[in-house]
Amino acid sequence: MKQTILIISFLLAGLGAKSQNYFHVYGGYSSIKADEWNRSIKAFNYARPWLADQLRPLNAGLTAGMGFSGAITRGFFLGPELQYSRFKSEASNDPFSAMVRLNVYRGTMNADVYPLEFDVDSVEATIRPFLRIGAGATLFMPKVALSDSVVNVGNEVYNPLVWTFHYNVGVGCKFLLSNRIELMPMVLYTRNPTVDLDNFNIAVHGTTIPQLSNINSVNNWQFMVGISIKIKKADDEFFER
Amino acid sequence: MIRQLMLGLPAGLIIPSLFSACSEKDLIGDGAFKGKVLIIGGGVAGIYAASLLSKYGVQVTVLEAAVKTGGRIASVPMAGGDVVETGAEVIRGDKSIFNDLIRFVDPADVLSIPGNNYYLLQSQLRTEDYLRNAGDLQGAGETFFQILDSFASYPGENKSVEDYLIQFPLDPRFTEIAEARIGNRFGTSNQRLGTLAMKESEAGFTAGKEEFTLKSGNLWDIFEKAFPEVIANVVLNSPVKKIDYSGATVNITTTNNTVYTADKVLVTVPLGVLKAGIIEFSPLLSGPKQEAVTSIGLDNCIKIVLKFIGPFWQSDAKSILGALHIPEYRIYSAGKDNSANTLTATVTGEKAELLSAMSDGEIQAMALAELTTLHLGQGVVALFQQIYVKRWGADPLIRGGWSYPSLSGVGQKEVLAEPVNQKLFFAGEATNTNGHSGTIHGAMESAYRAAIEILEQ
Repeated sequence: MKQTILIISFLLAGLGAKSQNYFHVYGGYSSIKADEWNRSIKAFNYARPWLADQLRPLNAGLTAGMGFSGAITRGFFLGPELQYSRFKSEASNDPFSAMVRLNVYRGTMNADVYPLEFDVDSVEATIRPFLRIGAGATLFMPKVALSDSVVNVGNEVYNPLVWTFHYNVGVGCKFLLSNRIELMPMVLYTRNPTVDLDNFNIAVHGTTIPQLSNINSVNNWQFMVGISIKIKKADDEFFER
Repeated sequence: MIRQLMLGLPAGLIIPSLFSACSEKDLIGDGAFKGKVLIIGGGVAGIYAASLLSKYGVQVTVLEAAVKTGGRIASVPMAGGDVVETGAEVIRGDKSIFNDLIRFVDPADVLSIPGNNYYLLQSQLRTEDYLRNAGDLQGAGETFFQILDSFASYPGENKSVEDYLIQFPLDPRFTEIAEARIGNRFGTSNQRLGTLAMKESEAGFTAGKEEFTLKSGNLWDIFEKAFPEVIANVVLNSPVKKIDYSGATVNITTTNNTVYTADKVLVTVPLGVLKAGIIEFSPLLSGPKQEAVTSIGLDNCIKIVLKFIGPFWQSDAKSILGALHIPEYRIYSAGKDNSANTLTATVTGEKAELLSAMSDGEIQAMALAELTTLHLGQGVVALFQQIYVKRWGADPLIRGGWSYPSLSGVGQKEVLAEPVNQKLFFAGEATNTNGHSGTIHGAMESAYRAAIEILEQ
């Protein structure tokens, strides 16, 4: 524990003392794979063959996020990031409608590595590929509504907050647009090894179906474009272009 | 070296997860079971399960013991051409698969039952507002309605609802109201309802509290419109006497000695039929399964339809609760286009047992006398036109009302619902494991639970 605190203190000291910092925002397409939850949705459709418009599996959504990264050493950046993703499936068969929505909030500590910049004294490149590795906490907030009413499980409105761990890896590239602004396309893969979405299949079905589980891993591919803004410091030499 | 590491690490993390992601079980895909299934029972669960299974290529045969389909949904033509429900009549909640189906079949026909419940308190009919707020009741009314909402979070030990109610400062005048509002609506008497099973049932009930009816149609019409081919192919007049599942296939023998063979059997017969042991299982059902059949509550049930030539009850009434002999009179015709001036009464538990010894004429005389004493208006007898009595407990193909949360029933529905040897499956309202037993949508939910079990095993 002491070692961890020392390492983090060292890294943060590095961020504050001499390094160049970046703030970035991004948005994009997010693909999710959550097999058991989608089996619940498929079972919902199966039980209602009369619905012309059926619920689609939760497999695509939108993501937006923002973060901060500061250089620890040449070619190596570290920083926190907050991300929001939303996945939604709707079936509208007037006057009946069904909706399953999954709000996902992630807080991640990312390490960005710029492999082409380990050996250079100053960054002059206008194209800067990077690799990202991170880990953090995810908050899943599912919601199920039938005919615009949020369903109950038991006597409670179904509105669980499910915390779990995640890790992510990705690749991206920064393209210099101006002295301090870079375009930042990125592909990110995030995995939650185990998520128990409490009572999800009961919420979707209104009953217990033994074959359906609320627990699965969540695999999330994200294709995003962002803007990275360099926060300039007075004594910055290394990053001067 | 560092560059290799940075390339290798992401690959190492991603690739295993991609392989694991490929292991999704296909819910009802190409690998699903496509053999022969025999369904015993042509009620809600049987017909709905048949429609789901046949949609996925399963060869389904439905055997129904009676001369028509519908099970405990039935109706009778009354004077003036009204066709009145003699079994299930109330649609409980609007968030259920049955409501979804109604909205698909006939969206204009579903109707929130209009009006107020009236409660009989010391020979006076009182509204819920009165009971909650009347000063002379010293808060007993408010306490009573709080109790009604509290079963889902009941914290104590298992006891009868009757014993549970004793601990509250309820006015003795609420005894019959409690019997009507709790015991009778659950299909029994408060003495036989268990608090823990009630908790299990109430905590899972997600369909909503509002009650609905059909404005112009009858409940079985919905199924006939939605699943006409399935219903047309039901083999009627075929009570099953034996299910032999000892071999590779299952042999089902009817009382007229016709033998059907199937890969799997779905049993949807009423709980009363299982309790009576009319169907012989070979090999015998396991001890826990037999105990579940015994433990889940089921009482006698008598449905009374009273037709009048004019109304004598409050114009805004939808139900009158708390009378001594008939716990609840429903204003069946409230808001409906297809009936007028009709009361129905579903009597269960001990009171049904008392009524079962009476003839239709005696029940008629007793009901009219009771209605007269309710001070609803003059001329009850003069306005009376016709009575119909359906004795569900005496029906040899049904043998009771609907399952209720009994003192010994905690966790037993799960046991009853469990498949046996991947050949014997169970559905029907009594096998609903999520608080929706005793309802039409509960029977439907049990049917698709069982259909998925059949397809995936």
